[in-house]
Amino acid sequence: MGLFLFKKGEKQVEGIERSKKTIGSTIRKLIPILIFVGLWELLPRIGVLKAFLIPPFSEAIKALVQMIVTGEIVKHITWSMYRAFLGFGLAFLIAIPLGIAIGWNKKAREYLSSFLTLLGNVSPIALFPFFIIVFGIGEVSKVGIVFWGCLWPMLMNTISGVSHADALLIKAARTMGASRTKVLFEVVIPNALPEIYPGIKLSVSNSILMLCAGEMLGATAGLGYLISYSQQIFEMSKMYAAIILIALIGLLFTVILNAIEKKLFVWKLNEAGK
Amino acid sequence: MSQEKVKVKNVSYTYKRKKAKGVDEAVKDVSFEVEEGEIVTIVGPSGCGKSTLLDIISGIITPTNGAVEIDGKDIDGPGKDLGIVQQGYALFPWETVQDNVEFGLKLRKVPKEKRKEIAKKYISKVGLNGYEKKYPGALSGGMKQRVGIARALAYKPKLLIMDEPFAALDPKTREVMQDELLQLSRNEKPTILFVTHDVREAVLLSDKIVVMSDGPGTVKAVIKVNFPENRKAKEIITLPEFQKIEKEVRQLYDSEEEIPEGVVF
Repeated sequence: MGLFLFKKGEKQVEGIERSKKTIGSTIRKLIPILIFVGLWELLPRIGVLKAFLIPPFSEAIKALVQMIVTGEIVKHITWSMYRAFLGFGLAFLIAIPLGIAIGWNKKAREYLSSFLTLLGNVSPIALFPFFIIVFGIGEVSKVGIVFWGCLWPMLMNTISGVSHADALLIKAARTMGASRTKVLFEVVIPNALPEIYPGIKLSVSNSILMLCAGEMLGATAGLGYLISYSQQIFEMSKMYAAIILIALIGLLFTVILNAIEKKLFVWKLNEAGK
Repeated sequence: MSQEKVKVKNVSYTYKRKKAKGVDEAVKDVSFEVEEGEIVTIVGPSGCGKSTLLDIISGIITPTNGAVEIDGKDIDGPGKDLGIVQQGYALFPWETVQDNVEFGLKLRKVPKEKRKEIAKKYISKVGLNGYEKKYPGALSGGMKQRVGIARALAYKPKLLIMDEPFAALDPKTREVMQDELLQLSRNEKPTILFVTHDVREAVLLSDKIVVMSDGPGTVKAVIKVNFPENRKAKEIITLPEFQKIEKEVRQLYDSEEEIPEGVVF
């Protein structure tokens, strides 16, 4: 009985130790952010930075809260998310199947790889004038630029992941009686996922980048528009509020994607812990 | 009453050379039989066409001449009659031990409940009870190969090909695995074609040893081995009879690995 209690106590101590550790690492992560925010608040107030160009952090937060209260921000967020999801979604629906098809077909890969690498290196922003000439300044151009920015990381990573399929695993599946289609879906694609997923992550962060750029170059709503419009009418705290909001949205997506990654690649975590 | 399960009939295979004219003979006129429930071992130097021969038997490539017969029927293309255990384990790292063992059963459309039950049975047969939910990455080499064997046996293939399955394991584990394989062979009676570099392993496990020579790969000799079914490595490797056969195979084998003339060390 005593021994049992002792063991239990030991475990509790272990638990406390562990939570101490996680608290410690959280604090370590927060320190640079707190210093940054602190300086942002302090330097404009003591006059080191010009407050009319860079208002204190609290002013930006105040502007953000105000926009939330008045509901003004809802329109901008809705438009931006709509464009981001549409551009990313279209890119996803095209990049993944196309990438699998090209990666799985050696001939297609030989013909297309150089061409695709070339296309993929064209900056979406450099293409924006082209989009405007062809599609006008409307939604198509803005979604188009997001689409272009999202397409390439997913397409290239999928091609690469599928073409790097482990020959040993394919052979194993084939000798067990798997058809070529079965091999593709049961072996090649799962095997490529660890390479496809980072492409998806990169595309998501690209979608927000491209979105801001697109909306700055002609829109009537959206977070990118809010930034450039606020700058034009010199409402600096609103501009910074929009920037903070975009950063927070990016952070949210990263957290979600990392959580999915953890779930999806449990077997990798397992590998590291052997 | 034994029955010929697998017949390799005068199999030859030539690779077409890409640049220079002509062909490379990898395998030439290879014939041997594997009987039901037997373990037949192929030994031979590197480059004796073993891999090509295995690819032919598993239906991945078609022989230039000759044919391979399983249960009286010539094979054409990879079928569902084979199991394979490879040196590199070839387990699917994203699947649990349980799912790996179920893979072949799933391909054969065995219903889910039945599949689970069969997989569990074979996992326990290879001594991995309690590891069902683990991923291969968390297992040792010996355990991985046990999963590989369970996966291949679970769907009761007509022929189990084992391509140097224990070559990557440390000597101690290898010995344990050899004994376990003999035990499995006794209980389950799978028909096994076993490829190895290790002459002692061949003599220990085999009912029959096919010694191959290289350039092109041909059958040099087929040696029958007749040790008691319930043998254990430790008990028989010291027997004079064992050592006699080992020596015989080694001589056949070694004569293939003479140092070519003109090589100076």
